[in-house]
Parts: sequence; structure tokens; C-alpha cells
Amino acid sequence: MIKYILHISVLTLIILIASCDDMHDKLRTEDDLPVTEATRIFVLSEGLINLNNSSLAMYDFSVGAKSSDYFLTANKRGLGDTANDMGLYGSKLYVVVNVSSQIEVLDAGTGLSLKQIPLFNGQGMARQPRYIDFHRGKAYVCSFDGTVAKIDTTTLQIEGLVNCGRNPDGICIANGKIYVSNSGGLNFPNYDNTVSVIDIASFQEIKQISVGINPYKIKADSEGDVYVVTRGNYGSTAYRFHRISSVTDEVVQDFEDFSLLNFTILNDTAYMYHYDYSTGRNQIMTFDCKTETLITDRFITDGTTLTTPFGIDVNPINGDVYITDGKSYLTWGDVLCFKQSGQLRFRLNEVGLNPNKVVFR
Amino acid sequence: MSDSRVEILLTGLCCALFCWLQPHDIHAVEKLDTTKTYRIGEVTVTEQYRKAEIRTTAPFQTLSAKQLSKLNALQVSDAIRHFSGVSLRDYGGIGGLKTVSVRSLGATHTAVSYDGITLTDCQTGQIDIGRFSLDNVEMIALNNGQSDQIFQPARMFASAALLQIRTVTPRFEDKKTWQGKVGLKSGSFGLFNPAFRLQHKINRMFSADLSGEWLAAHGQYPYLLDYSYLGSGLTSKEIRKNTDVSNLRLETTLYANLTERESAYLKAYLYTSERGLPGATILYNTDNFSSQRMEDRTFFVQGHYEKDLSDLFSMQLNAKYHHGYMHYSDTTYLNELGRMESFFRQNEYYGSVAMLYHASRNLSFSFAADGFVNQMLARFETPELSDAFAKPVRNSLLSVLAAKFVTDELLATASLLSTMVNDKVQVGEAPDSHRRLSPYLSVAYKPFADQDIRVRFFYKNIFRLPSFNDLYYARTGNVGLQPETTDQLNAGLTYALSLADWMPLFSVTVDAYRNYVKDKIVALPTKNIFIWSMVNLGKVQVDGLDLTVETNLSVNDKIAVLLGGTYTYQRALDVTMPGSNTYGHQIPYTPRVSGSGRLGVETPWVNVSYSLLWSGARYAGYQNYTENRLPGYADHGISASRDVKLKRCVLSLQVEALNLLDENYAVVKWFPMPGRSYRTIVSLSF
Repeated sequence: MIKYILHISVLTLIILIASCDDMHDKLRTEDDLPVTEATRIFVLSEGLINLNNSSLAMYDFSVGAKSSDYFLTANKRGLGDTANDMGLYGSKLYVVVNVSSQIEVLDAGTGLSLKQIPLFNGQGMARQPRYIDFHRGKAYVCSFDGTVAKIDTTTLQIEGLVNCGRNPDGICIANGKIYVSNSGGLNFPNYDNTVSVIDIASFQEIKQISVGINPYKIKADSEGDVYVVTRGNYGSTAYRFHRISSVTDEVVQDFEDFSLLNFTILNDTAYMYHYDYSTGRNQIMTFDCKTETLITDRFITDGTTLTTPFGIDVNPINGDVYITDGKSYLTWGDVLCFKQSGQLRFRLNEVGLNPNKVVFR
Repeated sequence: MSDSRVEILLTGLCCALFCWLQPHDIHAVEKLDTTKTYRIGEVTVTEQYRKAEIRTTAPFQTLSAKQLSKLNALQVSDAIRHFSGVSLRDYGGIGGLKTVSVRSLGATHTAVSYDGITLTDCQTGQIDIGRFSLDNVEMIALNNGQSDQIFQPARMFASAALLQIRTVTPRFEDKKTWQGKVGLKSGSFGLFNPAFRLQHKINRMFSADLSGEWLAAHGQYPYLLDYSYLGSGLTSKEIRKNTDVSNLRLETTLYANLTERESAYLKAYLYTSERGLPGATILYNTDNFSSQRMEDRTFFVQGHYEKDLSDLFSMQLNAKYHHGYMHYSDTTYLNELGRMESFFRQNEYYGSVAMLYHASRNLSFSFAADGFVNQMLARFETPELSDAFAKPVRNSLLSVLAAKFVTDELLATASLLSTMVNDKVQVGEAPDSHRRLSPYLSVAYKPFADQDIRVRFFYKNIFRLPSFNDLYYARTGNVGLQPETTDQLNAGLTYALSLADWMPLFSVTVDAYRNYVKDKIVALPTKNIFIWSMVNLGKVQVDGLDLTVETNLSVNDKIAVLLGGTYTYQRALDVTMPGSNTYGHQIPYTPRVSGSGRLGVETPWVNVSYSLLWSGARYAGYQNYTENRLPGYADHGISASRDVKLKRCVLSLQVEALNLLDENYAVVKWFPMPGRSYRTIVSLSF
């Protein structure tokens, strides 16, 4: 009898457990579009390295449409691995995909890929593109292999390559010249400390300016000043902000009284954030590029907090400041939109894994 | 694979189990004879181990050489997937890293022992079990918690789970003084694996064993690349590259049975490997990892001596010297030199003494003390990096006091392990030393004298130390790390019976458990890809259920059928921070359900066996979102073998077809597994 009962119970148990793969996909926190305005934004998320999960989210506030991966939906394929940067030029979106070593050019209206530009050297080695900027019909892309590629925005052909310093990690254009920050990041602990100056007309490197260890984000204002962040060695040397004159191609100012990790410039105001890895504290700041002074070191005025700022961009139409939050880097991050007054306007929840760039159209 | 296919499989498994169970109930009432010995085709160690499996206080699973030969398995890692509660991280291919996580605790909590002495890799804290061939293996076994055998080195008590690998020990038939085996495995993807074993009985006391093998393969297998991380995009046919391996193993052992109460062995082991590291498949850049190479060498000498000092006391001594060398290079790294290169060397000096005291017929006590020193040296592509390396030396002292109580109805064990660890470094800051006490308690109770039913329970608290990589690796290391702690609670039921002549064995074990992992050591990436850092962050709660079923059927005198299956349910949830965006999500790479099945038909003409491994969906990320989902899979293998008795030797022939349905799947996302492949095995035993 005992045996009989046992058999029945074992059997019941087997059936019970065998029927239950009760693990279902959880739903992301997704809200309805928070505003109605004539803005379409693209949010690039780099994903995690070697997981091929870079994604491009699109929010069209004017018609209330959104797509969590606009590129994948339109093209039936993903962007690839670690998309670091994105820029809009004309009607085309250029996505810089670092580990896949591609520039993905797509139609900003349809999301359809127009061309995938591979960046490999003659031996088939990946150049690993990092950042992009545009000037007079050309796109300039700096790559970890120490090159800047010139791409024609009409033919989408690579027209030339020029060598700069080690592991460039930022690019901008000022005064007919390209400025490239040479991080040397893959040479830890022997970082690079220079900014390469490339003359656009001759497409030759004309100078390397010594700025400080491990330079990163580089942007120009309307007055021909080039601002660059140096990240130091993540130890004894701190994060610093520097100003280069594009006239003399010399460092004209080192800002000692504040630290930052990343910034963007719109209408001669720099929108900056700092993130301290050791304490996890962050700070959002604004800076006047004309007077060369901080406007505020507490941009957020309504008590909104971010976990891990990961990207900062400003909507050129209405001046809204978009800051992406990478959270733990392992989970989907948010995009927070602030008014110029520093009050949170809206939050886009769980946009992608490590969102790093917002582009406005 | 879609959910519906998983369900069909599950249903299929259910039906299969149902079918075996059905006829039982009828016979069960009529015949009840637990004193009868199980009749299995031959008297092998299998039978003894299977008995052990249902008698232990904590789950214990074994696979004997005979069972292993039916699993279509080449490496230990292939076989271990047939244990319940196990998730194997398999990066694909022969050379791909393979580590085993037991009951969602993580691979670093699984210790691996080789002939009774644990293997260590202080650098990574985990053992690549893909490197162990099954050619020379007599048995593999998995203990959850720890073994009921209390007379062991202290290190055997010091992990959350223990995988034991036992090599073949020589047994000589009358008057034979030489015996051996030569074999050749060959198959798809350029597999060429010749092996030999030679055993010699020197005299009444001593015997010796020498074995070796070489394994080479180009490993280039085709796979289907899906261009969507969601798994439904455009596809292309690709070939896995940089997958070549060349491994050599040489092993020799001297066995001594000095007296009836005194035995010893001394073993030397050498393993060298040179292989490509194919890495993740990167979209639009599938050659990304085509230039990463790995070369490693392992050498160890270990000795064991055991003596019954009197009827009351026994003693054993164990010692080991281990040397590991690893060279990693990437010749397309975009630094100034154009390459990334690391050389790592590890040494371990290990000694252990253990005593056993029989206090009474029912009660015994043991004490074991292990002392060991682990040292690691490293050299990198630049002198700056090399000089910055900590060059750690870890001194460990483990001692354990254990007790065991045995009656016909009850088996109980308890132990208290003390760990003292101290790291010294030549460069940089040294971590705090650690002192911990780790308790263990287990009990099995047999309520009915005439029924082979047991209820069992165990509790174990144990931790794993941060590995040298966690602590010291370039910029990612964090010397402030604390050990990662686990608590395991298990309650189970085992049942075995011999029902009728046609079913000499039926056994089932069911265990439900709850595990906690706290201070889990995880790597967090930071702003850019250069900077990751190790932190103690994370709590995991695991609720699970393991089921194993095994039965043998005798169709008639000549034909026997062997059936076995496992089923695992794991609810392994992140419980780090309530309200966070991963709280309550299943941890990465842990299927909720998984299982295995095996079926062998033995006839005088040919033996046929079928093996199945299946897994439900998993998540490749920390959030259970569709984007992270990795579909489940089923991997079927089939083989046929035949032994031909020649004049003075036995010729064995075996053909195997693996991943029979050519399923395109990955255990680790973007690390595709091989599709259908074939192997032939020819061996000659003399």
C-alpha cells in the first residue's frame, strides 16, 4: 500500500513539475509618450560588449509613435556590437558600431539601412570606430586603430584615411580643422595625452597638442574654442577640463576647480556631467563657453536623481536637456528630459541597455 | 526552439516516466522484497554506486565508466550535463571553456577532485572541466553539499558542491601481469584522438599504470548566424574559426597495497594544450576573435597514503605539488605593440593529514587538517603591467572536525570546518585575512524496515574566496572583496526497489532545496569598455527541485534495457535589492527547467544507446526581457557499439551521431554549439 501511495505521489509530482517552465519574459516599464510636440528622437543604446545588442529606439512625439528597436524592425538585423556614437546629417543617421567595426548609415525617416560601411584595414583587422562628426558634406570617424576616416555623405564611400595618435576617443571640427583626442586607452597604463590636429583641406595631421592624460570627449564652441576632457589614470591623476584655441592650436586654459566626464555644447553653453566611480556620486553642470565660467554645478533643481549618467545631449529646437542613465550598466537604462530650468520634464523608462546618445530631428 | 517544442519534450518525458511507472503499481502490492539484491547484467561498480546514491544524506549522483560509454560523451563536461541540478557553461567546441554551476550557485562554488585530491585554480577560482577526457575515467560523481564519507581531506568539505573524477585503477585477473588498451577516436571537425593505457602488476604489493592520449581537431564547424539579438532576423551560414585544439595528456600512477590495512598511490599528471579562442561571434566582424590563442600546461604530482592503525583508528596522508602555466595572446589588439599578451604561472604546495576514530559500532569521528600555499606570477606585454602585478601568495589552513552516526534506520553526519586564509602581495595592497567557521549537518532516515525508502536532509554553509583575478587583475581587481557565501538547505526522498525479474532495479530520488548566495562577486562595466570592476554585490535565492530516475529492465536472458532520466527545476532569483529593476528576475544562464534522459539497449549482437539533453529558455542578461532570452534546446545523441572477443583481446567498435537533429543552439549567447556530427571509436583491450 505504501508503495502504491508512493508511486502515485511520485507520478503526480513528476507531472506537476514537468509541466511548469513558469519562466516568462517580464515586461519592460514602458509608458505612453509623455508629451506632444514636433520632436522625433533617436536613442542609441550600446548594449554590452560581445552581446551584439546595440539598439536604436525611436520616439516620435508628434504622432505618438515609438519603436524600441527602429533599426532592427526595419532591417531584420541588429546594429551589431557596441554602437558608441551616432550623428544625424541631412536625412541620414550615421551609427558608429565599435566592435562590429561598421558605420551603419540609415534613412532617418524609414529606418532602412542605406549602406553599411565596414572599417577594416588591409589585413582584415577591425579599425574599431568610436566617434563621428560632420563638416561640409563629409563625415569624419575616428577609430581605435589610430585613424580618422573621411566618408562622403552622398556617395557613402571612404575617401581617405589619416593617422592620428593612439586609440582616439573623441572628434570635433573647428576652424577648418579636425581635433581628435588620443586616449591611448588600450595601452593602460601608458595612456596617450595628446589631441591631434588634422587640416581638413590637406587631410594631414599638422600637430599634436599635449593636453593631459587620457583625453576623451572633445567639442567646439562658436568662437573657435575646443574643449576637451582628460580622464587621468582613474587613480592619482584626476578628471580635468581644458580649452584649446583653434587659432594657435595651444591649450589656453586648464580648469582646476571642477571635474567632469562628459559634455556637449549647444549655443555656447556646455552641458556637463561628472560621475565618480569610487563613490557613485554624480553631478550635472552647465558652463558658459563665452565667459569660461560655470553657470551652475547643480543643474537639476527639482530633486530628481540619476544613478549613472551615461550620455548628455540637448534638443536644438527647444533647448531640452536629455541625460541618459546607464543604471547598473547591466540593466536597461532610462532617458531623462530636463527643461532649461533644470526641472524634469519627462522620463522615458527602460529605453535600452546603456543608452549613450540622443539625436533630434 | 520554441516554447511549444519544450512543452512537447516535457510531455514526452512525462509519458516516458509514466510508462515505466505504470506496471509497477500492479506488481508492487504483490511482491515486496527489499532484501533481494538487484540483478544487473554484471557485477560492476555501477551497482554499488547506485546503492550509494539512494542511501546518502545529501544528493549524490554517479556515472560509471560503463554508463559514460553510453552517453556519447568525449569530455567530462559532456557527461556532467546528465546530472540533475547542474548547469554547464559551455562556450562550444572542444577547446571552449566549460565550467559547471551546481544548483545556481555559480561555477566558483564547485570543487573538482581528481582521485581524491581537489584541483585548484586560484587565478579564476573555477576549473575548466572540458580539459578532462573520459578516456581514463572510471567514475564521475557529484556531491551536493558534501559526501557522507567523513574520512577525507579537509578541502573535500570546503565547497558547496564537489565533482569527483576517479581514474581507472588496475584490477588484474588471475596470473595476468600486463594488461592495457589502445584506442582511437576520430570524427567530424578533424577530430583525431589516439589513446593508450598500460597496466602492470609488479608484484603482490605494487602495480603501475601509464596512460596517455593526444587530441587534435581543427574544430571548424558550421553554424547559422542570426543577425537579430531577438533571434528572428536575417541569417547566414558561417564557419566557426580559430577553433583548433591540440591537447596532450600523460599520466602515470604507482599503486601499493602494502598490507591489508595499508595502501598508497603516487600519481604524476601532465597536460598540455594549445588552442584558439574563438570568442563570441560578433555581427559583421566574425573574425573578431580569430587571433586569440591560448597555451596551457598543467603538471601535478600527488600522493595518498592510508593506514588502519588499529581497529579504532585510521589515518590518511595526502600531498600534492601543482604547477600551472598559461599563455594568452591576442595579436590584433589595438595597443602600441599591436598585441596583448599574458603569461601566468601558478604553484600549489599541498599537504593534508586526516584521522578517523571509530568510537563505537555506530559512531565515528574524524579530524582533518590541510595546509596549502598558492602562488601566482604574471607577465604581460609591457614591463609596466608586469611590474604592477601583485604577485600574490595565499596561505590556507583548513581543519575540519566531523562526526558520523550510522544505524540501520539512521545515517547522520555533521562537520565544522575552520578556514584561515591570508594573502600576501609583493605589489600593492593586500586584502584582509579571513577566518571562518562553516557548519554542515545532514541526516537520512529509513522509516520502514522492509522498504528502501529514505527521507534525507542537509544544511550547509560555506563560502568561496575571491579569486586572484577578482582581487588583483589589472584595474578590475578589488582587494576589498569579501568571500561569497552560500547557504544550502535540502530535503529529499529516495526510493529503490527490485520489482520483478524483469525489472531488477528501479530507483528514484527527489530533492527540494533552497539556496542563498550573498555577497556575490560580480563584474560591473563602467563608462567605457576599458574599465570593469569586481564588487560584492548581489544576493540570489534559489528554490529548486531535482529528480532522478533510473531503472533496468531484463527483457530476457540476453537483452537488457537501461533507462535513466533527470529533471531539474530552478527558480534562481536575484533578490539583491527590493524594488530594483532586476529584483525577482531569474539570474543569467539558468534555465527554469532542464533535464536529461538516456536509454540503452544491450543485446549480444549490438548495444545501442540514446542520450538526450534538454534545457528550457534562459536569459543572457540580468533582466528577464525578451531581448535577453536565449531559447531552449534539445540535443539528441545516438550510438551503436559492439565488442568482439578475439583470442587474447577484445575489440570494441562504436559509432556515434551527436546533435542528431542538427539543432542550431547556444549554451552561452553568441557562442554557437556544433551541429550534427559523427565519431567513431575503435579500441583494443588486452
